[in-house]
Amino acid sequence: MNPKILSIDDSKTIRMLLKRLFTPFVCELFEAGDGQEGLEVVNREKPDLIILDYNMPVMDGVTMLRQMRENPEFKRLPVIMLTAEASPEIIGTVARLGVRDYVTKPFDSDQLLDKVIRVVNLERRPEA
Amino acid sequence: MSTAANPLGDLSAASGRALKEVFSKQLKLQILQSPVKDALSTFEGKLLHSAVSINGEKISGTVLLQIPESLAQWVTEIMLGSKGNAEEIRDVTGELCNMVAGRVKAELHASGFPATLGMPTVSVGQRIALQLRGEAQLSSTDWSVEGDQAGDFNLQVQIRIIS
Repeated sequence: MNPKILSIDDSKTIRMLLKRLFTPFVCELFEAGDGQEGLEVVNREKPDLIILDYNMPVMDGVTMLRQMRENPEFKRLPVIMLTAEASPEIIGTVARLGVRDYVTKPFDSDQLLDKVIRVVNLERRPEA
Repeated sequence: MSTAANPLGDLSAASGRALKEVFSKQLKLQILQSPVKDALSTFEGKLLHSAVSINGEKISGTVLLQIPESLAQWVTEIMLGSKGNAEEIRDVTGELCNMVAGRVKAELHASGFPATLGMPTVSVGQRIALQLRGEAQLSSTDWSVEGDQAGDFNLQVQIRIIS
């Protein structure tokens, strides 16, 4: 089964950037523009990894994470935060909610990819 | 660094560090502070303005990034790997300002002023200038990308301590 990665960010730029980053790899990439939509995709697709923003309209990343963790099925679903928010309070809160890693924007794409590879097995697509 | 006389610290230095970090890390571009004061005042083309609010219990302010459309198109191509449409160019501009605001906010937090960021708003038009209100501190700096002619751009940060 190909790994499923869900990108939740209100910025289309970040979602496009991640799509570009993961295109060379065998995986399925899903997108959501806020926490509410993210929960719907989580329930429907059951991803192997979530890359999650904090500051979003409708439902922020921490609220989404709290609600998701209430479901035993997603208690241990790996999450990497990718956000411009770097306050120690938020970092502490998401750490208690079992977040695997925390990347602040601006970010180095290769470093993010390294963190993703530690969580899901990504194989390069065969060259066309 | 913040002092008793200037609790917010050097806003120009903090915003400059934030902008340089965003351009070097996200876009792999080096930027230089423009020697020309108010370089955009004579610019006649279209500018994209992106603003993000910073609000906390003790502070209130705005980060405003203004860049020529040609430069916005270029950084969009770098970031997304293809020429973006008008919506994508606006979104990239907003995201860059969001990243800068995030770094400025982190420095304010370190000086004892925790805050949260608003959502980026983006508009198109002529140069605008934030007005100094009351006890606010205002920093306005002009920048250019090293070795490029895409034009100067401007970063303004205004922070007010709520008494």
